[in-house]
Amino acid sequence: MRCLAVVTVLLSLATGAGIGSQAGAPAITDSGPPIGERVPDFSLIDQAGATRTLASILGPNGAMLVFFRSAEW
Amino acid sequence: MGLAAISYDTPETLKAFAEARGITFPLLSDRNSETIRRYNILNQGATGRSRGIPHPGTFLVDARGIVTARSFEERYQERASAASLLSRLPEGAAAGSDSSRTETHHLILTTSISDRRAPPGTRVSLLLDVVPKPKMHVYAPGQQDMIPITLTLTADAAFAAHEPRLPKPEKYFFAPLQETYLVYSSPFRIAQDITIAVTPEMRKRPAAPGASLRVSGTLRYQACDDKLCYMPQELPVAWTIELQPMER
Repeated sequence: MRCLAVVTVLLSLATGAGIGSQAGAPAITDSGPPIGERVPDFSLIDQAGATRTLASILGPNGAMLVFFRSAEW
Repeated sequence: MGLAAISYDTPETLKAFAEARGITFPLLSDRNSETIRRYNILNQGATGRSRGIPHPGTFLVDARGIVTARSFEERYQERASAASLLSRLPEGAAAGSDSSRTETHHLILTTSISDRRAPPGTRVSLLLDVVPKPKMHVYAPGQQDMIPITLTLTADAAFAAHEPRLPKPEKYFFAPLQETYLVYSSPFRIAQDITIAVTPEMRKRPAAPGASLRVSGTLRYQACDDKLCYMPQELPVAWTIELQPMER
């Protein structure tokens, strides 16, 4: 459950003022792969310098992919 | 279930972040926001050092990479908790925390919550697991002329309620009247999400020891068996969330 606590922290990272949804912009809730669609592949370096692809993250029960703004601010 | 977090930070920044917080799952460096763009969640309005950030949120995908749930909130301060997202999956059908059981002649109701503690701005799931007793069924939303199962929460400025989620009802054909009804006769779950308000008052509340938010309401339903219908019932329900301070 510690994993979930950390993910919740990541999900709640706040940003500086002024960044959020802009009036007139399409709703973010409509952007990106919807339920039922496959997400795009990726090949990215992790914090240990290893290359991770989507396939390497997926487990037998799938995966949770969390996009967050920044680890630095 | 796999887990990975993606941001536009360098691997070095992510390494320091992971070490400081004891994170062992992969933090992926999307330095030029190429993946963020490919996922179509780039925050177009962000400028300066924020240029390239995503709209933050989460995708839950199955073993083939197909999206089964997703959460992206309009307001940056509102975020569905991880537990709340997981409770939306069939595999997440295990009871949440702090469960409480009520039994009537018609059904067994177990209430629980995705998160026992959360800061203001978090979206949590209030869970109601209903098990109709043998031969019993309850009426589902959309059924005319009967009392459909309905959760009503006592309004409180401390939270905002979202639309409840219920499964697709079954069609029950009652031969004596030659009529088909929308019912639930097997165990089912009602998920009622609420977002804890971010107001100056709510920001201050977690400072008091034991600070908590109590959400109460009633679950109204009408049950029938294969022979007769019973009087509508109202069950009191309540959940308590311990309030945590907001990050920053």
